[in-house]
This record gives sequence, C-alpha cells and structure tokens, in this order.
Amino acid sequence: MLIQNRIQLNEYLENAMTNSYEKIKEEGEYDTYQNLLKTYIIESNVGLNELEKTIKSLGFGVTVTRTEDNTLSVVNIANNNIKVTFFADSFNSRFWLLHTIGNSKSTDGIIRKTVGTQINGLDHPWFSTGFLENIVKNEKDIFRGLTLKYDDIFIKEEDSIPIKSLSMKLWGTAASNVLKSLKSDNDLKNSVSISGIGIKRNFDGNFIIEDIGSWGKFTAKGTSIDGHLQILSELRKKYEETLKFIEDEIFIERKFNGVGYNLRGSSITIVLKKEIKDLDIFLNDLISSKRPFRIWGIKNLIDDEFVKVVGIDLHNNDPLDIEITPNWIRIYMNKGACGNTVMRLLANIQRHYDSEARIEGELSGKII
Amino acid sequence: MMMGLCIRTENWPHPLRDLNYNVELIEPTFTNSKGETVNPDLILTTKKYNHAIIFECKCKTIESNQMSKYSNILPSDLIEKGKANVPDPKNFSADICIASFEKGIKENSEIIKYKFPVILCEEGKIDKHNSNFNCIRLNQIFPVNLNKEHRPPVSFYPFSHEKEDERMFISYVLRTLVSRNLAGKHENTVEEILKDAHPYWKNIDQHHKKIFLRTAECILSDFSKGELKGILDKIREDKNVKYKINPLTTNSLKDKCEKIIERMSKEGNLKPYFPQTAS
Repeated sequence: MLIQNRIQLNEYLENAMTNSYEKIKEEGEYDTYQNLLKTYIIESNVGLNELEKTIKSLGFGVTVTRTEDNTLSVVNIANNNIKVTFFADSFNSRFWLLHTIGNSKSTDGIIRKTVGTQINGLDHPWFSTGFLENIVKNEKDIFRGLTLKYDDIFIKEEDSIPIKSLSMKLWGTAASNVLKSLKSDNDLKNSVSISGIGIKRNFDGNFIIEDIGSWGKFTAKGTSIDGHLQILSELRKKYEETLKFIEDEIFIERKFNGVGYNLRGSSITIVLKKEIKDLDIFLNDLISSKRPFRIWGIKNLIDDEFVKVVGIDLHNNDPLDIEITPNWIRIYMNKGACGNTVMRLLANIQRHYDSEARIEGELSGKII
Repeated sequence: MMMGLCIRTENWPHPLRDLNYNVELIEPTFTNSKGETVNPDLILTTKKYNHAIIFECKCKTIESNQMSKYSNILPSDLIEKGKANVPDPKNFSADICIASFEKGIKENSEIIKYKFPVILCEEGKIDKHNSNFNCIRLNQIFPVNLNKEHRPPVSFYPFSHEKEDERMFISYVLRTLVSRNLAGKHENTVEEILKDAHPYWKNIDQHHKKIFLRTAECILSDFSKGELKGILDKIREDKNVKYKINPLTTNSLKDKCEKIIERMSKEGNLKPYFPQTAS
C-alpha cells in the first residue's frame, strides 16, 4: 500500500493490528514471529539519512521514500532473505518511531544491528527495571504480566554463583506476587531484571494490549491504533523528560567567563546492592567497547578499591569519566553529551550484573 | 576534593554545600592589592556567610613567590575585580587556603609564615590546620569525618601539572587522541589535543601551559617510538609536529594504553615527564 500521510498510515496500521488480533482470537496461540504491529523507538542525535546510511553499511538494500509529510518516510529494506517495511516517524527528531508489521525476527535483528553500529548517533531507549515497574502503577492500565531476563556477563563460567542467567515469563494477575517472592530470596534478588511489561488499556469501547520491551520495542494487539500511539507518546515523553533532566541539570558545564570558569552540574551515582568482587574483571567487560555498554576507556587505579576510567561513549563519541568502587559507580559527563549513556549503563547493569542497582541519594526518584 | 565538598556528590561529604558555598570560579586570574597577577585554583563563596575561600591545591611544590602574592590578596580585590558575588560586600571576608593530601605540607615554612589555613585529607578525616578561617561557622565543620565508602570526586578537576597527576594526564591525552580520531581528525598537534584534554585550558597561565605542552610532546614522542610504535605516528609538516593514530587500532590502542598506565602504577615513572621542582 502506498502511504502518503499520517491518516493513511494510521488506517493501514489499525487494519493490520485488528486483523492480526482477530486471527489470534480465532486460531488461539500465536507464533512469536507472526506479523503483529510493532513500533521501535530509536533515540537519535542525527538526521534520518544516518539510518539509511547505517542500514546500507550492514549490507542491506534500502530505499527511503518520502511522503507528503516531511517527518514521515517509508523505509524498505531487503536482502536475499529479508524483506521488510518500516514507517519512520521523525516528528520528534530526538525519538523516532519505526512502525512495522514485518516479521519480528527480521525487524528485531535489523533494529539491533543498525543501532549497535559505532558512532552513528543512534541508540535504543533503555527502560530500567524501575521505569518498567512504574508503568504498571498507572491506574489507567491493567497489568497483564511481565518478562524477566538476566544474564551475568561479568562472571566467568567456572565461578560458582547463585544465578548466572534467568529468563522467565510471568503472565496473569498473580505475576506481581511471584515477582515479590523472587525479590525476597537472597540468592535471586540481584537477578530479577524486568525486560518487558504487558498492559491492557481500554479506550471508549476499544482496547489495546501492549507488550513493552526494555529496549523500546512496543508490540500491539487490539482494536485501537490511537491507544497504541497514546501509550507510545506517554512513555516516550516520560523517558525524554528523564534524559532532559540528566542533560540540563546534571551534566557538567564549565563556562569560561573571561576571567575564570564557572562550574555547574554534578555526577550521577549508581549504587550497587551486589558487591563487585574483582574491579579489574568487571571493568574489562564494562569498557570493552562492545555492546551493550559501548564504552571505551583507560583504567587508572587510585587505591585498591577505587578506579577511575577515562572513557568514551562510542554511541556518540562523548567523553565519559567513571569512578568506581565495589559498591558504586559515579558517572561524569559534560553538557552537550547524550543522557542516554547514563540510562544505558543503568539498564544494562541491572540486566547483566545487579537488578537491584539504583540511582540513589538526591537524584533517587528523579532518574529511575 | 575541595569542589566535592560543595557539590552534591554521593559517597563524599559536602559540608561546604550545607553552608551554601558554591563554586564561584575555577582557575581565575586577577591582580592582588599590589597589582601582581595571581591564578589560584578555585574560589568558593557563600552568600549566607558573606565569605570566600581562595584555594590553592598542592601536592608538594610550594613556590615562595606564589605564597607571597597570595598574602597580598585582600577581600576588596575579589569584590572590586568582580571575582566574588555576595550580598554585603562591605562586611565580606575571604581566606587563602592550601588544600592537599600531603601531611607534610602543614609544616611548610612559607605557609606558616603567611598563616594560611591548610585543609588536609587524612586517614579517616578532612581536617583544618595551622590557622582558623575568618568565617566562624566554617571553622566549626572540621574535622569532617570520612567512612570507608567515602572516595573524593576526582573528575571535576581531573589533573594538574604535578607529578602525582602524570598517569591521569597521560590518560586524558590518549583519550583525546582516540576521540579526535573517531571524529575524523586523524592528525593532531599537541596544542589541539590539550585544548580538548584539559577542561580549563583557556585560563591556564602561560607558564603552566608550556609545561603541559612540553610534557605532552615528550610523552607522545616517546610513545610513538616505543610502546605505541605502529599505532601512533609522529609526523612533521613544515614546522608543525602532528600525531596520527592508525584509525583501525582503537582497541589495540586501548590495551596498550592500559599497559602503559598499569606499568606506571606498578613501577612508578621510570622517566618522570612533568618537571620536578624542589619542595
């Protein structure tokens, strides 16, 4: 179908969403790879042409077709095995929405590879465990379930640890009780990392069932495309506010006023509830330049339990200073840098080391 | 360390913040009552107590001439020359303060001669020595106790020209080279590197700028012939010397950089780069 504007797009997406929902109702269980409506949020510090350039560099054929709306484009991607279409909405230039009804195995792969390429200015939003837990607290939404995914990438195979990896899908109203039980268990409590939340919301006789992934993937079923777009808009806004707070209020500004420098801003501290046994091993993984952290850095031992990293966030080539002890991680970035670095660090430490890690002190509650 | 005492930082006490001290200026340059130029490290002011602290952070090196110039700073110099914003300038007071991690510094004859208060970061506490401040409330916060979780924020002012900061200086120079390389700037002069590497470069005095430039040149030249051979190249273009990183070696550069820093941590600097001055 030829999409030229947002009205046509919404109509197309709503039809696709309703049809797939009807099919699920008729046929019962649906396959994970079925073509449900999915929207990926992409955090961007660049123009849409960077998306095209990056996808091409991955070996895919790409055509980007502009519509009559200059913030809406149709992106067709193909190679020998894959053929998918994304509708790219860049109305919010910082947070793009990429809608698709393509096969999720293909679309997930393309989005992850595209965003994971170094220094292209693109990133996922990183919803921390606290951010996802807060979604459930919204009175408008009916909690349906959650997924847990934890994989300790800092521990070597031979180490004996209570949990190396954990993957669990808890669906139903009692899911939160199970979550509470897991969190109260001493061996499990640092591994209860929420990777997705399922909610249902009613809209004037229509409804939307939304599965929200911690990396900004929204999968929708139901009868209301407006409901899907509303949930997207609310969560994007909330996340954007957090980033803006980090970037405007916390990142350090050193302003030269002719006679000296004025300094504004401070650091952000992630407090760990699981002590780091070996800082050297931990840092080797944290600053290996690889996904998910994408940090390059040089370690400087200050004392046996205090290391400073002089680093670079490879997502945007922003300088990044980290001070770390076995119990906390202090992060310093400069004004103009991307606040998503902090959220990526927090969410991935929760996912890969300590799900209980939190921003504490005065910033607690302001960054979750 | 001192900035951390007045900026919200987790796991580090901030009693100066509780007295409403703010970072007024970092690396300010102004003239004292005798017209001599001074360039302390930091000025903190509190509107609540109408007071300023002019900090000089020192490891070992105390220059007699510098201490003499500091002794000629009057509170009115800060007011008249716009270096402190307080509500009641007529009743404003200010103190020069030497801050250090080195215990021995409180015995320094120059510091004793001018009766400057000294703040020392010691085992388990930060304490005041030698003299009192002119702000009574400030004197009362000492000693500031430290617990085992406390670690000073070392990134607000990442390095000075003193020997103790040499490893950190090298890390920042190498980080800047990598970052500029990633941004497509493959060939860089030492000055271009330092402008990015030192967060307060614009107001470093000429003497110290020269030390930094000479030191960075020496380090990069040595590394290009030694531990970073094949990764970092020294190029001569007309009269300019530039340093170039092979764009494909970012990760091997990281490993080599860490080895350099690790070696320096373990063995000490076999070849000290910053000039050594008598204590």
